[in-house]
Amino acid sequence: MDLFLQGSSLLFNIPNFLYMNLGLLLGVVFGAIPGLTVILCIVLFLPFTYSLGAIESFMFLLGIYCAGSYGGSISAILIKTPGTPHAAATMLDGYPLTKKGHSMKALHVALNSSTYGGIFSAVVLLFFAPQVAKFAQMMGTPEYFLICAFGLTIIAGVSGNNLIKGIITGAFGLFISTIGIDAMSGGTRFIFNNINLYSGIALVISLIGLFALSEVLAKSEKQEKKEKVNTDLLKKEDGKLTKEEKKIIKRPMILSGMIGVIIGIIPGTGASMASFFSYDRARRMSKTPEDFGNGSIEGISACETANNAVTGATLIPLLTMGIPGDGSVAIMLGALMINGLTPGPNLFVENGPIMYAIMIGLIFVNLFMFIQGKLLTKWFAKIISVPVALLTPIIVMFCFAGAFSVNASLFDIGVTLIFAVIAYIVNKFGFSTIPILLGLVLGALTEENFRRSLVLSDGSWSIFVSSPICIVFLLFIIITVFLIVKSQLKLNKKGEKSEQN
Amino acid sequence: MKKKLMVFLMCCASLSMIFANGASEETESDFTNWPEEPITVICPWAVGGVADLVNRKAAVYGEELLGQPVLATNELGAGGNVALTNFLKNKPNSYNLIFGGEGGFSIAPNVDGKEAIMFKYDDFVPVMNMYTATFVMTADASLNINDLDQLKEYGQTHNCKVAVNGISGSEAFLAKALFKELGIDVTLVSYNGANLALDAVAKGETPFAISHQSQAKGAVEGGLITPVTVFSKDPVSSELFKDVKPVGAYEMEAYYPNTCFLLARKGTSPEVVEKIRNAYLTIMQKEDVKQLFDKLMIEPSVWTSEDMDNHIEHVIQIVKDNQ
Repeated sequence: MDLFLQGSSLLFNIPNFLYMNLGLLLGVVFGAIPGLTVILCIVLFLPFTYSLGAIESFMFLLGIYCAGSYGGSISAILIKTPGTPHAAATMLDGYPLTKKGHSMKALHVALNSSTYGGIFSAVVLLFFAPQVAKFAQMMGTPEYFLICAFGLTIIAGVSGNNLIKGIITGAFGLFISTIGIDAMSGGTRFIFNNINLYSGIALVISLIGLFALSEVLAKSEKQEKKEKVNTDLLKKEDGKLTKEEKKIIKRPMILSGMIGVIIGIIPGTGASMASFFSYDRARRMSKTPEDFGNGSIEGISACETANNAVTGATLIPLLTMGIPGDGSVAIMLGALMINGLTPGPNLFVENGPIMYAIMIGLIFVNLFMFIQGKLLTKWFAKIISVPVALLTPIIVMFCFAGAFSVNASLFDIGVTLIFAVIAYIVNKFGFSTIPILLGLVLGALTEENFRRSLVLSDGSWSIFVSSPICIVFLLFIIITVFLIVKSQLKLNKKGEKSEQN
Repeated sequence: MKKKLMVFLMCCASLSMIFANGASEETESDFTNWPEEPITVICPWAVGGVADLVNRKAAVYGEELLGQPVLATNELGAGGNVALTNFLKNKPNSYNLIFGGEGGFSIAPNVDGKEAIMFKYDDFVPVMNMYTATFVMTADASLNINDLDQLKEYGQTHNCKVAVNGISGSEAFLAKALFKELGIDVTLVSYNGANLALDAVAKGETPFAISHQSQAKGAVEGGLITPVTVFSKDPVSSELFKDVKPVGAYEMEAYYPNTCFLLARKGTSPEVVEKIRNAYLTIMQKEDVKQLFDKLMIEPSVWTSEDMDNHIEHVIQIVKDNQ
């Protein structure tokens, strides 16, 4: 309690809240613009924090991190181009709602859910960090592999009506993830002696091509009239949720918050996996699964709760063990060290008040994100009123700038264009591009953890049943695959019957 | 008429050659005023990492000591090799400088994927070594292994698994070289980052890990892992690891530090190199820079270019001997 009070007194200073809000504003803008990333924002403004104290700089960086996580949903909902990889799942239901003229509603669901997810994980961090850290310590390489393998079953949920097509595009994503230096053997795969392919294809670069540029290509074919959303309804819509709708999204929010925290404590997995996991679970648990993909507020709520629930959870391994869960958090590790704070078991003993100030601050980061979001939503919603002819070149410019900014490389712009063409063709043939993204997100993680497990066990497969967590996830995989096969057989039978009729 | 034209053209050519020579002489003497434009120092490694933090800190004093702003920037990809490749586009005496180390010059050209490496150490002029960082081997605390003698004893009956950051990184080659000298078998377990490798030891997944001192500090202080040895000839100066017996104390040669060279493009005038070197040596003496070095557990270095050349050759030898 003493530390809590000391932390609060350190936090409640005007500069801390000023930097927090500045970070939030920057984060929303960078997250919302396709091509600009949260990492890019943190990198650009990191030097600015070097002259600040530990709490001020952390509030600023957390502001960017959390708001960026939410900001990605804005462009996903409004213009069908996710600003961040994890907003790709939000796009599945967000854009159909926009087309129906309910963009304000979609944006509000995203904001409410993001805020809930963020606060939930901040509370977990504040009150249960040691327990959660202990749980995280129980999970090792074989557990990570089984979680990733379980994640791959989500492909079935985002494949639309054709599982085979989903598996094909998912396999393509897995293939792309093998490009580069093989982390386990050091050998090269598909790099064709090109130094730019040494580290593989960055997720952001493929995302820009797969979703943003391919959408531009698709739109260029259509007449503006056909693509226009219902702007008349938008003018009338206040975006408020009915009592019934609030009740509907409660369940996916609670479940997704927990999924986000669990995924967040596993290093390297990140918000994309949490989003898709939650989306899949919400669809399976929904009373109206047929609405998913057609503008379900449950779908938006599940994704947005989960990806923001990751934000607080990734700080648990960072602060307790010094393990950064993703790229943004890795940069925050540097910010901690420059302030003389060494993450690890002793961090809370030696710098308890500062740590508590940061953890309490995270709750306020989310609260201010909600306030800023509320104020900005109506302005964001106006984006869809901008003529396509004007909006498209701006999106293309940001896409190219974003692709270039990852490695300051023109080569990456070429890769983005290749992905855009692939996505365009794939969509033309009725395939979904979401499984490609899932394959890319999970491919390297699944493979590395699988092979590392076998190195640790000297080749024995028994390592995959060596702990209760392993067994639980193995059962989840078996049950899920069984259900997928069963529902697919049912669909096939239905198809045969309707053909006979 | 033709003759007159020929004479006129020859006069023009001679005059232009005289002026060209004059201009080039003037360019050379111009180095007294160098730099006349802002300087960019490229860190080819992660933002927020040790080299990046040092680069950004040093850049603050650029204008004070060189008379022009120094811009610290990052160019990522392939463990620094993309930036080093792209740096070849620079001409001698350019206003761009870059960081590099044994990873790019000793390891990358001698492991899988070497065909994609288009640069050599000779394409650069070493200006100075910004810092040296000593690697440390740590063990799961429950094993109670605190030196190489105990490690050797353990290795007689156990398969030693060492968690490393990447299978072709400095840590991997240090592990291979050390265990070869100890005469015991080792299995390397590759993780995606030194922090994850250390975590593997802390949770008992692997018995050993190799990392930088600063990365191991938290877990060592927390009692989760114990230091076994440091990869240097002499004991290190950091408070936490100063009592750890170094590899050199066992009359073994399996050690080298992690370095961060500041490099210019080949052909850069010695006068320019000297100016930059003197400025950076002064920067390293600044109180806040020293404090940063302490926090990051790295040491300033006054290596000569010969020292740097020897380091690159030494690591190449270790890599070749332990493929």
